[in-house]
Amino acid sequence: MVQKAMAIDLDRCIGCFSCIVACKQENNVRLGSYWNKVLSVGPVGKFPDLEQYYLPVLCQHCENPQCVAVCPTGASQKRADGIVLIDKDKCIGCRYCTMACPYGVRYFNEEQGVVEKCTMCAHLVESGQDPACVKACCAKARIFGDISDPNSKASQLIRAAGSSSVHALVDVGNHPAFRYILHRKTAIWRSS
Amino acid sequence: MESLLILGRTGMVPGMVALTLSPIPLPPAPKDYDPLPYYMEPGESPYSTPDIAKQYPLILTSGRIPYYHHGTLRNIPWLREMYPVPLLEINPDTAKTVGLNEGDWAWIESPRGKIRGKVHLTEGLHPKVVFMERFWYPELPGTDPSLYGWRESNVNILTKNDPPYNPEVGTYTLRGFQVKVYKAPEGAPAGIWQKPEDFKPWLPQVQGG
Repeated sequence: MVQKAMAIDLDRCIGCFSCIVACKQENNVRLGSYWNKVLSVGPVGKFPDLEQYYLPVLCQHCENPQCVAVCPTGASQKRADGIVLIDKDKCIGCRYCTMACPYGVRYFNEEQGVVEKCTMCAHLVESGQDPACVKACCAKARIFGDISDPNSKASQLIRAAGSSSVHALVDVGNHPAFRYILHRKTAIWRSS
Repeated sequence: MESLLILGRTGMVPGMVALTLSPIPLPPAPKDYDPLPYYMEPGESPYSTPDIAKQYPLILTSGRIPYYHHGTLRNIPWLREMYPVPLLEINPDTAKTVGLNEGDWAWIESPRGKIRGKVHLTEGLHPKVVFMERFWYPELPGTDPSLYGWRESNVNILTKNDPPYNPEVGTYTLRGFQVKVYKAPEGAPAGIWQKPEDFKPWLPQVQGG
């Protein structure tokens, strides 16, 4: 099994939001929609004893995607490489998937009457490139690869971080594929 | 910086030869200036001007947020939908004492004028300090009375432009002066762009099909 995903190193993310803009430019994402967004978690504490981290939130290309399970037309599909994609020709805009997604990363396109989300830049990945957000990251905080392959760069980064510093967004049975690295010296993980 | 120092030390514009060449030979800069950073109490502060500080109890500092650096890039719709209006950053405890909540519009007033910003609460600031981005021009008509909105949210309306001046390059007090903040019941300046779709006119246009 192949599972394309990202390991996102929150120790390195500086909150410049370049990835947000790169995503919108590459994919022509509508104003007001964010296939990739970055949340500021904090600052937490009392001045001047504070901690904060930035949390990129995008489709987690889950191992057991509930958006795919609820789609009545088969428009949402998980590909053999693990990427979850929406076939806009099959989407009828019912938006069950936007309700089934635990992360709120699916957006309704009112002009086209269909749901959209992060494609992991499948069109770039298929030509051997990294997704636009990965390419734009000036902190090199995003590592893209096959996380089911223990030799991929993403898997190596996750292993090197140590299990107590590797996190995932809340899992309600959907098994998100992305991993976040955050060491205690940066901040306490508060996003599960 | 070198060319500004040359201008300050000689009164001559060095650009005649090359930007960093002095028209006359000069001793090293430390002969005229302190080579190390030093602390100087601001000309307007709770210590320098206690009477002003009584009426304007908070210290305003201004600066840049990373994605609007230098060129300001305010015409990029994807940046503006993230940060559409100028934020007044303020400690939550301080905001409570003046009755401000997250998302409120507030007046920021110094002895020289007043502007409006949108309140953002953050523990990242000392309770006596507020922060705003250095200048801002909302999308308003160039005709009277708005004149491209240059008076609405521009920190330069508030800055102190009398002595002391910076001895090296002659700048006045752009950061670190006294203000008071209070709720703006009238809300945002009328007619400014705030919603993501407001910035549609700046989306890239496909040329020639």
